[in-house]
Amino acid sequence: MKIDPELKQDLRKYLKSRMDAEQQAQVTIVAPHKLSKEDVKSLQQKFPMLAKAEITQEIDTALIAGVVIRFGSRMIDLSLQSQLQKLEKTLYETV
Amino acid sequence: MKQFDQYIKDLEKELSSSSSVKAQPQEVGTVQEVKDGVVTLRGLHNVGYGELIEFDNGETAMIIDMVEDIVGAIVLGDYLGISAGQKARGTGRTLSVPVSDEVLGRTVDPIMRPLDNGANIKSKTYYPVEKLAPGIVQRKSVSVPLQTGIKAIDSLIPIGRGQRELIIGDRGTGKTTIAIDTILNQKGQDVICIYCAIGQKNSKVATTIELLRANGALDYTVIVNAAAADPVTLQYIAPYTATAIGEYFMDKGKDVLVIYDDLSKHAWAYRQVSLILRRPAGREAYPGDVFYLHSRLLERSARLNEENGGGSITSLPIIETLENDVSAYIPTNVISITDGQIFLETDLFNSGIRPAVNVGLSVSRVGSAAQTKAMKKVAGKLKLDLAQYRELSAFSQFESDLDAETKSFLNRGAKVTQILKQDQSKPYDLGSQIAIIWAATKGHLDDVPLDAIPAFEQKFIADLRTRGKKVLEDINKNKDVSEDVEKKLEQFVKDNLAE
Repeated sequence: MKIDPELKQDLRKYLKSRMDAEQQAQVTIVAPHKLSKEDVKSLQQKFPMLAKAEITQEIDTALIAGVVIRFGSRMIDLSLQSQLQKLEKTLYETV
Repeated sequence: MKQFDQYIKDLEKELSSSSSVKAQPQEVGTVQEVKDGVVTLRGLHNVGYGELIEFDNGETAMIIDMVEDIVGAIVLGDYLGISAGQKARGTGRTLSVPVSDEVLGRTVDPIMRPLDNGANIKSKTYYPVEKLAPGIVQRKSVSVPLQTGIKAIDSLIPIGRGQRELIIGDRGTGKTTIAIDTILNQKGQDVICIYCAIGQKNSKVATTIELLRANGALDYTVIVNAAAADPVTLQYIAPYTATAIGEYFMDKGKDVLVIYDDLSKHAWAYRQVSLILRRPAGREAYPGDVFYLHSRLLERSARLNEENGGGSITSLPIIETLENDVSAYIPTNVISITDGQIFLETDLFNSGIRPAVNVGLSVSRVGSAAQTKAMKKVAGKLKLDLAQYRELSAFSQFESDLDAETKSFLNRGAKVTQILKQDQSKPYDLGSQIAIIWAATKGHLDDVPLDAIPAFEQKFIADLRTRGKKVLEDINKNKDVSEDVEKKLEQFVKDNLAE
């Protein structure tokens, strides 16, 4: 059976776009205030995987300071909030 | 305070180190549904089966279900604080419990939180709650007896170390009593006992602990309790935790006795979890893997060979039947997994035969290999006497006049049945057991009226324990009944009968 060349073209295009999308990871950066371009750049230097990713910013003042980077179901938590929570838990367990 | 010091130390280390901040990616998920003890979450794409996850409020859960894009986890503790939308983090660990010699004498819940107002259990050694059973090469066949201290069991249904013997019967037939008496009899035998209460009333467990304490048995016993009021998820993991504690001691070369009281309630707990997770229900609404639930648990009872330390785990699982129906689903499963069963009957219990062991239906498939020579000598005759008695007693109900031989069989059977009765919490040592069984099977009690037998037994044993101490010691030490011992026993029987 011969496949319609037009259909072939479409399929190739679709697969290419899918592959590009996969490489272009979706990353969310949560911070207590809006990050400047320099901030994002320094983060990108620190985490190479952020370089190519499509970055969305979110603002959450509950973090107090630091950032939380989310990609897929993974998360890098560098916020003061989680540090304080950890301290609270340690104190609670000690008492 | 130690924990806090450790925290400060870690913090200082992190600050002083010139290297950059640690950025460890974590798995996160969001709670979608909270059902009785079971939560389903979205996210957590890279977690494994059996992994622990931690919620924002500090509760932990174990993953036991993974569907295409959601995971199901059982909450190990209070699930009421968990709400939809809450975040959960993967910990990368599987469920394990801290174990050390300090757990002896303690009462803990299935994740080793103390229930006795004592200090937290802390240890560097952690044992996984779910673990594969020892393989064939590591094992050895049963060869050392585990004395229950109960005449009817040690003589007719002997249990060896490393064996799994099921105790089965209706409610109120003395199943727990047999198990507890066995723990009491392990005093000074260098056996570690673990009593695992699953779905029991807390009042009953408290009474049991008091009984153990009063008899000085708590020093070598650990109690794992998941009461009826606790979440079913804890009831589900309780026996596995008890076995993990046992494995710690077994790996140290100790002999361990684990009592699972009871596995019917354990199956109920697992049924509830499975139905909430919407797994297909099978017979009696139990899930398809309810056999594996118990087989993987009881397979962990083993006798290890010398290269592996020579330790053992003996287990006495308990199953409660309804109306003596042993052909129900869970009882038949556990009967086929175990190496024999002790069958207790309400009718026997009510007619005053306590322990209410049905000697005809109870079996021990491997224990006879471990029975002592002395016991084998006297028990052989005992079995024969009882078998003849059972056969004739049914038949004799229709016959009015019986010949002398039949009468003597019936008389002997009644006497033997009488001496197999035993009070609660009064375990007999090997010597005393053999002495009284020997007296009955040799026919010395044939002329004693039935109602005079308990008094004679009491007097005879008391006499042996004082005046005849040497004879008992001889039997206990040599584990054999020599002709010399038999002569001495005969003398003691005569002395006590004459008075």
